[in-house]
Amino acid sequence: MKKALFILLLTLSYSSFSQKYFTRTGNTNFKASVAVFEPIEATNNSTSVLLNTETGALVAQLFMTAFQFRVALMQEHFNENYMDSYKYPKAIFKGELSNFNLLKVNEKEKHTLTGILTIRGITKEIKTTAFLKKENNTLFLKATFIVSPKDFKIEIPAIVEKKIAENIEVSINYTLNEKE
Amino acid sequence: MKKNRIKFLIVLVISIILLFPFYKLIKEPEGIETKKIYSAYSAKDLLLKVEKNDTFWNAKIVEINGAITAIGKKGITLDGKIYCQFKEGLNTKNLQPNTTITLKGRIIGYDDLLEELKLDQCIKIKPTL
Repeated sequence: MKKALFILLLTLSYSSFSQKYFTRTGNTNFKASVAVFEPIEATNNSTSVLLNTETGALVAQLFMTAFQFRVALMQEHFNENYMDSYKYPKAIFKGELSNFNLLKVNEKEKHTLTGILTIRGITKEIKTTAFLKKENNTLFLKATFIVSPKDFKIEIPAIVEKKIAENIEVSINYTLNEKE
Repeated sequence: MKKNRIKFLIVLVISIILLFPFYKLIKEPEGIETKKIYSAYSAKDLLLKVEKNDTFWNAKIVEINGAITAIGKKGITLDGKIYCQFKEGLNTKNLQPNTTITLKGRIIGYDDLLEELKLDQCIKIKPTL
């Protein structure tokens, strides 16, 4: 009897630990373009994301140097002048999805995604609306939010100031699978 | 006749010099294929090296060989600890688990969230298909 209880407890604890969805190749994109000037945007297709499907807790992490720009020079300036990618290689988001229930994921339902974004060692609170979709054992998560270079004390030289938007739109598009 | 040719050459050289900055403004990032390899390592050695000093390895291009322990849609895991994301457009079909492979790729960093080293833009060196 004791043994059975032990096994039961063990499987229960194991199952609660295994309730995680993840990806290594999440898509994070930002647009800092100003109309009239050349588009400034980049995509990161190597974002790691971990979602605890019991609590809705979400952690996403990406490496700055993995942002791909269309123009080599822009990528160089982004890493060396603005983001200090060699000193601060990562951006991390730690947050939570509201009313998350894996069994009741519904395309039409809006979830609030709140959390802390850390870039260059500086934190900023993020609050936005996220959309979820579930197909078989795959979860799709989409959201957009706005940040500003000022939030992270990124100094932009006056000569290019007009070309870089004050409000940068970040969109996330993650396809998560169950983690064994 | 000869004078004309010299004139033409001078104009050509000057226009190349003048246009070069514009070329730099529109140039695409260099592809992984032509980038120089920093050095070649086995998966195990590279892991040990990066653990010691991970900022040094940021964005370094390396050749890496190891055993395939997992195969995903967009990349593979070597020796259970290194995730190699393939270059966009390449697929992981025709790869077999538990076989060895040599890749060229770019180190993007140690991912402490999933506890693995991460490379992107990987292309196959050996075996070639």
